[in-house]
Amino acid sequence: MIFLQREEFDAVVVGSGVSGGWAAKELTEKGLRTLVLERGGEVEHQKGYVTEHVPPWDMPHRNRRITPLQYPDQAVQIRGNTVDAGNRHFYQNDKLHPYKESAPFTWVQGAQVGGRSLLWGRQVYRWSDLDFEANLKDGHGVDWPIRYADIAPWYSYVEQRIGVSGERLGLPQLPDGEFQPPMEMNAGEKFVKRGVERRFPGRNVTIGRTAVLTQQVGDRAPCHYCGECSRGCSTGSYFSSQSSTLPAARKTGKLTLRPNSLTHSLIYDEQRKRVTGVRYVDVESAEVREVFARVVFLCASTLGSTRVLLNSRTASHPDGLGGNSDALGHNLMDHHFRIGARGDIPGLLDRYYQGRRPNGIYIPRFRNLGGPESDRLGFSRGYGYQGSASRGGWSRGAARPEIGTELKQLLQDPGPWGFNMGQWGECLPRSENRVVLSQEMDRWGIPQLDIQCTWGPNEFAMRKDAMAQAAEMLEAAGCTNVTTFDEHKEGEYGAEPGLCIHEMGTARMGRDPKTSVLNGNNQLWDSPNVFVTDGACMTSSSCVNPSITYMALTARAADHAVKEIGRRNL
Amino acid sequence: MHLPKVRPRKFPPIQSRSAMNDLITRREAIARVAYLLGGALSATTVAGVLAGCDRRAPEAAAKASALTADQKEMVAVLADHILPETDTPGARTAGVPDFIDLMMAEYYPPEERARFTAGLARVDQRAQRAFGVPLLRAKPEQQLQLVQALNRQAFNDPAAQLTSPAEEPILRETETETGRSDAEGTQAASAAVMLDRDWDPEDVGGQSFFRTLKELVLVGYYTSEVGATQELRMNPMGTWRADIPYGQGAQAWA
Repeated sequence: MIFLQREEFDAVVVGSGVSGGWAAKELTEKGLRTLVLERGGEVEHQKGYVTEHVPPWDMPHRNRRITPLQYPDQAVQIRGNTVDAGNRHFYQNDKLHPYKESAPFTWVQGAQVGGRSLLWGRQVYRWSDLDFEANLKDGHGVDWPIRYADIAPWYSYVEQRIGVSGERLGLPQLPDGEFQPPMEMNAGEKFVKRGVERRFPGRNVTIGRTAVLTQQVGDRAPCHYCGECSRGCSTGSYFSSQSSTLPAARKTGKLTLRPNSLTHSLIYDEQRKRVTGVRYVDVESAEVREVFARVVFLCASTLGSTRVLLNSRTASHPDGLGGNSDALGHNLMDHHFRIGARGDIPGLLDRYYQGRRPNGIYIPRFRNLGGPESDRLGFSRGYGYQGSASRGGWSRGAARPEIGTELKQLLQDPGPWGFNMGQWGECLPRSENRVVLSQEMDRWGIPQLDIQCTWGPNEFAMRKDAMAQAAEMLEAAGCTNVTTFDEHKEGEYGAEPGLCIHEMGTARMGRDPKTSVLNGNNQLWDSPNVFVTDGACMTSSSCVNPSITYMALTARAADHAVKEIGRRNL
Repeated sequence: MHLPKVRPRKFPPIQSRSAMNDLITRREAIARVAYLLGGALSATTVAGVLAGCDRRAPEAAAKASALTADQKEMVAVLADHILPETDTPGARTAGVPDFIDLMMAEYYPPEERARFTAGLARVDQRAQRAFGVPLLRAKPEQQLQLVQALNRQAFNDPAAQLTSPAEEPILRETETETGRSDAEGTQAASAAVMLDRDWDPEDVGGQSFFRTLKELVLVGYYTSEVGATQELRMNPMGTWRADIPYGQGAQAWA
């Protein structure tokens, strides 16, 4: 291929989701001419939210759960329970972006400008030193090269800009942040909170900390509680690349955003021992193009970024950049969930709520905090719970024996209160949970990923405890008809890895180039002008939702990159 | 015909029929919310919410069909007995038959569709055995009797007098022949007994045809504009009120 003109930028960012958007914002605001490559198509803020506020009677099949029968091109995406007719256009086409599973692994992906920032659960929790020191203390994985003090100011920086509502608790294992006023719990949740906190000192039931505004931030309005965040939010009330980071980057005049551009590999100069640019495919013309830059930020999602590294095979790095360590592609993690308990809340029939709060309650980790029980539980690390209380709706009528006027009358009132809580558990880094390049290509000639990932004994032991504790807490709180659930099925789909959409690891940070891919500033050991700041960089998984940590690490890495450029180190 | 009264609603429903009216009333509804909150909604919120009101799902226009005209009419008759007209419209007026037809055409796999139409066929056979005519030619009170019997069997009501299908063969033509020879005055009562004693394993319990139908009728009704705005209330956008009193005359959110 002949290039008439060599295209150059100060920085190239691969991906425009949670991490890529932050990289674009920080780099452009610091004066770098930045190109963002996004494999998916454009989704414009507001105009692109084509199903926003469309009532159920105008939705296909009244917005019933979608199935592969209607949408065979999204058969993998549909395995999760987050896809519906209102948001499925923000999930990828599985036929265009296939992968191999050596064991059940559901890879849920966005393929559009904004990536999964349009779809995320918006739960925001800081990590603590309990997390950053975990690997060192119990010997699983390698030690994180950073501690809470390194990232804390960046959490604050990010929280102030994205807007996080939540309650301050003063817990060492779940540090407080820069919070807007919390959303309020409903009567059922207050009932469970009272019961649990009375019977279990040291356990807290708090409102979810969420990147949904309760106060204005710039031109972003507080939430209007329509309850359908994943269709997109014209008021910008939740954090997405569209509402927050991309407009900030655009304002600088330094941003070039290029959709439909699928990154193939990094361009490596063997003489300079340095990455000089990015090779990408225009997905519409299938033309391969090259672009050059001083720094590259890989923010293509955990497995997307690792796929680019694996596919960047050079003479000196035959297994890809980072591949001379024993860590590239290894130690894939996800949170394990879909296990917990539910129960009925007696009474409170004179209490109700109005609006659709896009948030639930959170029970922070209370296991293995370093106390005397730590040795007796039979597992390392810990878990938290997410949940909510609600009153039954009209759909309960399907299980009622009434018909006719009697049925209509019954369903005019809300049903009894119920409470549902599910565990989100930490997953240990294990080398055998890994991805490799398969022999099969996608339609643009990029090798597909082959994913091999299963839960281990620690995860199963933790789940058992979490399920029992959930039931115990609900019973102690005074709930009735308490039942437990566990959707994991060995070797089948149900609660398989990937489904939680918190995939992490495969290009971890560390202190040693032999056992890690990135250093403490997210720089590729093999080429320090390459930064990987999405979930791929994670050295362990904690039990809390990870996105805010990617944002903080990205802002911190961008700051480091620009300082290093100033020092003429990059 | 006398229609049973349902209790009056505290909140007037949003009256709208056509798509255009719908857009206007929802705009008005939001403006009203903004007004009621004394301007607590910012200009950006209102603008953003209003922007959303012009949207419609791109695929909602397609209308496929899987049921014959008679099958669809049977669905309408059964649906209207499950959710009849009261002071609000019933299932037929709310468009439930169209919805079920569309779901059969586009949503369910062929085997589910076959199970559903087989269930409808059994309803006709039972009407034939009990009343000597197919469902659509039976009198409304006969249709209701049949729906009640199907409902009892689907919910394992003791009144349905179900016994294990393995032990006792299903009562068929011989019994119904007797029923038809009854005198006019006792026919209805004996038909009810007959209906309860005439059953098929496919019509019993959680997996029964009638449970499937009932669920579809509920979904079709309560996600329709009629069901969501007249029978129930749409949960309004604007604010989160976490813990409010609920009392007489109030209604559940759709």
